[in-house]
Amino acid sequence: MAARGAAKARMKKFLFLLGLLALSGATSHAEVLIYKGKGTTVTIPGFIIPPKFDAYFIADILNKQIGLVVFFKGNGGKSQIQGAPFPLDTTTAPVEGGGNARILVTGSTPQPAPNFTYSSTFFRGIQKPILVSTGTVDITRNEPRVFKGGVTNASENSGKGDFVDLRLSVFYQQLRTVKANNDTRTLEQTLDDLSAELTDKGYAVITP
Amino acid sequence: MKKLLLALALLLPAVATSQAEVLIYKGPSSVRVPAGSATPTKVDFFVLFDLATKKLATIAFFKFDGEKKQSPGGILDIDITTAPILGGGTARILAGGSVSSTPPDFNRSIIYFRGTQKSVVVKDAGGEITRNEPLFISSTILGASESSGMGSFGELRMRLNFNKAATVRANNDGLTLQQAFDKISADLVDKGYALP
Repeated sequence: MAARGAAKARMKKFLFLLGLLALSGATSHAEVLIYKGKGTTVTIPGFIIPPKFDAYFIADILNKQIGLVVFFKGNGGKSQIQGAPFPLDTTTAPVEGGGNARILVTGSTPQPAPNFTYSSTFFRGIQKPILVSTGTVDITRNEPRVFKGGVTNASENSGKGDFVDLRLSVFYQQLRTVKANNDTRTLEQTLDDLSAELTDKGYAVITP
Repeated sequence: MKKLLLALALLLPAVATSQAEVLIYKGPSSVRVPAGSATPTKVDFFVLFDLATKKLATIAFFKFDGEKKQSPGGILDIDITTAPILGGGTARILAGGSVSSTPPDFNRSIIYFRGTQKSVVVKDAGGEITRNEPLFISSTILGASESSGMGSFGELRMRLNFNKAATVRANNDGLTLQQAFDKISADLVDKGYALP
């Protein structure tokens, strides 16, 4: 029972991170960009994501949302965790050598002292032409082929410190992206699709 | 260089400390900022902490266009905590940040330092004093903003090593964080690193 309670607490913490400033819900119109890659975490013991993991990273730039499906092998099994879509800010800025970087970022709001929470989700990638759909005509966007970034969290609550340093490098998945957009999938539907695909490959969904 | 310290400068006003036990770290960093920032991609840092008063100070120093330069970052308030880590022991966490948003404009930043606590000598005059603080610190400073449709970002990652000699000297001399900061800046000037 205690172990189940601890697992629930860890899951809540993970969802807190993925759902920073979360307003989950289906988007009425979306154009999704699907990325896949590998990540690492450095955090306190008992965190639900192991030190090394794989992930799908889905961005809906139009609606300023991203979503993650984290999957990994451990304890003799395959597991996946689907995070709810969460909103963020986005901008572009010029980079050395020409071109622009796409920036995706969130930040936490201040907490009343003595407690504190600082959280940031930050991804950056150099914009290049990428094919996103092939309906009646091919549609390309100027968005990153590679995103690098992660989630940084530091907090103290009632004297108890906590931290998560999650890093992720993801690469553009053109086939998956084109299929999703040709099928007019929303971000949330795409998360469900990817999760179902992982389920078919034996990755059990971890639910709180 | 202004871009480099954007995240730091966004935070809190400079405050002088009246009493301090300082911890001094030094190390390299990698920097990513927009084009035209006149900032090298590799910058060395001194970072000074006063854990009792929850303050930190940074001094960046680097060579750019053949010239040695330094960029003192002022003294900032910061929150601190400790947390257990895998394999036993605890991590010291130091963090700060700011968030502001007036859509469509926004400005977000985070400062984050983490190191595993070990025994470090901080003073040796009148008897050796050790503290349970990091020998190594990894740090991430991130900032992103958009104002009037113009985006900007700063991404700085540091690997800092405890600078025992400088720490012990500062604490033996009873220097405050501000005084230790001023001394390091002056030492850098002596080595040819010009102030802005």
